[in-house]
Amino acid sequence: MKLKAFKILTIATIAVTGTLMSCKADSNSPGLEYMPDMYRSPAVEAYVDYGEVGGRYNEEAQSMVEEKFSFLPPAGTVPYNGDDYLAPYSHGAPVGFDKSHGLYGVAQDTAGRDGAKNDVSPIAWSTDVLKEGEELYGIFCIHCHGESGDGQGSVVTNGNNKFPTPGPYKPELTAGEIFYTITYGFGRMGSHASQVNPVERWKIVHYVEKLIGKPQGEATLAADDTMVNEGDPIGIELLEAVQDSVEVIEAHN
Amino acid sequence: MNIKSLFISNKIKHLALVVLAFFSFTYNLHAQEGDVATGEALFNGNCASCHFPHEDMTGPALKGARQRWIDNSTEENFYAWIKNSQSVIDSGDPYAVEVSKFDVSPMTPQNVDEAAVDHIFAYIEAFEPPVVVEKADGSAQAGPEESSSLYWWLLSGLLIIVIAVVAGVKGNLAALARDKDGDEQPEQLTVGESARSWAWKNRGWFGVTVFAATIVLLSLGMTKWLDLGVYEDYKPEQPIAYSHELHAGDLGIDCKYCHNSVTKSRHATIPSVNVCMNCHKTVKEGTNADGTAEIAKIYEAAGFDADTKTYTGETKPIKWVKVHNLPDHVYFNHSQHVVTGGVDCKQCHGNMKKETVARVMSSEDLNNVGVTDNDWAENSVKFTKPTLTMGWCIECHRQSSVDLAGAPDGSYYNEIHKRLLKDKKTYKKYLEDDVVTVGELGGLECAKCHY
Repeated sequence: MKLKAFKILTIATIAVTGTLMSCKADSNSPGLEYMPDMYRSPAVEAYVDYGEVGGRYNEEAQSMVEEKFSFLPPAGTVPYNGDDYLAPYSHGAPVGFDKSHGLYGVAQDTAGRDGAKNDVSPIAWSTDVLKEGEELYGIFCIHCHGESGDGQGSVVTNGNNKFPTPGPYKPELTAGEIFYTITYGFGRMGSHASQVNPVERWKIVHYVEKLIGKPQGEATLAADDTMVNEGDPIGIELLEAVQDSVEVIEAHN
Repeated sequence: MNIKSLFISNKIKHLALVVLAFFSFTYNLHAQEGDVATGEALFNGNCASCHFPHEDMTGPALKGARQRWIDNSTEENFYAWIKNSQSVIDSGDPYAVEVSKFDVSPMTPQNVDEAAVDHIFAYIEAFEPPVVVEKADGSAQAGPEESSSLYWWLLSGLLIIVIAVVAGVKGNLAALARDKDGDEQPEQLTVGESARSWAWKNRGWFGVTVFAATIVLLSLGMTKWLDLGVYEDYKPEQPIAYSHELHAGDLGIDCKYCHNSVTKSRHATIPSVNVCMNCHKTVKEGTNADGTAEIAKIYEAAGFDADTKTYTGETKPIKWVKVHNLPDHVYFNHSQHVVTGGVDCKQCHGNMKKETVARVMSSEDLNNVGVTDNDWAENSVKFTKPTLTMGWCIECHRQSSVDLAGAPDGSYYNEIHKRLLKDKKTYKKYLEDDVVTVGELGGLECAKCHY
């Protein structure tokens, strides 16, 4: 029975090769881990699968991580790298924003957005700040509000009419109101406080003010320069002219 | 002259009357004509952040709103409501009170006159929602391919069985024939003995086959061995079938909008559910029925009641599966690479505009960005080692250059530049290939990543 041995050999070869070949990638499996290669840190980390490790199931660590999946950090958490150095924001969310915008655990303020109308940006205007603001605008705002702030972003134009246009920016908006809107949301817009920190928000405000066409930065700086540095008669004349016109108006009234 | 001009004006009057009658007839009496194009601009500027023409949002669908007001109240109240909704509610109009219950947030008073309202409603009544064309689904191809390879295995298995059976039958027949002819049966050998004697008789080609088989098995084993700890093409199913192709590709949302901590932290992070809700509070329907079901999962996690359009405050975790795993003995920091190094996301994550859920791209995929799929510019660094292995990191550290001269004053790299300018010899050595690479500045030191 020479063929018997040949038979067995053939079957064995095919079986071994077949087994090896069938180890092809299953997209759901991260691949073979010959021994634990420290993929699961003993210090519990975000989004790490603490399921079965070496036959043992670390239920405690697993639930600790899973229960926090896709949640925001606890209220009042301060980043330790010190980027966020501004004083806490004094204005609360509009009344009812817990239900309408999901801002549970956030203080509410009956004044709403009007309360923030006269806030002034603590981040001074400069061309660098404006550039950073533009970059941030390009990440966080542009897909709805559009490149020029006309409310025709790519989400609106490519979205099969599922998404409303936010409309062009209202020219009467003040810096404080824009900041308040980014922080707590407005109408359809949700709160972006978790995505941009207050410093970044003020930088975005500078850029949005530019899109609205508000005189800021360059204009005011230029005006200051002529008034202070030159001290020329034109500036004084202008000032006098303004004072005169005010008097005229008062006289009329 | 006078008579003639009178005649003409009379004619015009008649014409105007006819036209007016025609319009009032076609527009169902109440509708003052408005310009659709002007209306669209006004609608997008004033109403569109809360209203759709054809479906409910923060405010109700506006199609037929004028008629609803006329049926339940008066047309004056309709205009008054738009200008200042609170005044109509205060006047005690029952329909106004009913409408005010639609949403928790009241209708904002709008600074528009009646002509503008007519323009807006001309646009709304003329509005037709565009028909959504479903995309041809390319994912159906994976199924048959897999089963066809299964068929091949079944077929080859069947073939082996047939060969074995035929060989057995042939052997038995030969034994029978020898029995019949009275020939002497060959001596009974055990399986091992017969195998040895058979191998010895055919030692020529048997040796070659065994040698070839050993080489094949060894190389296969080697390949598998090198694949240990390689995560390429790892694409686990996620709790929500999110599509990067739709969001980052079609809708043009920046990667960093959702993965926003990439510039601030070591992790790029999967976004918290409130980021999804920034858009999905409004977008309730997906591109198909499956998509709508997936969006419902977001609502469940966010504690959002789509019917009442309010948050309940009862949130649930979404158990996303982490895709890009690094062992704990490797330190990797996203912000260092993205902010300081200015590395583009696609250098390591490939073209996510063509992927659904996250996948560990193979180095081949990364090299093909901008070459075979030209959505983007080509990646500056080409890889030969598998993604997320140490060789892969090192390759990039060896090639990537550091812009020392452009570093702002007082920064870390500016300080290094100053020191190198003093140590001319080292600087010259670094600049032999015209660039100062990450590797030359310590990017290959063990303790940079392993500590």
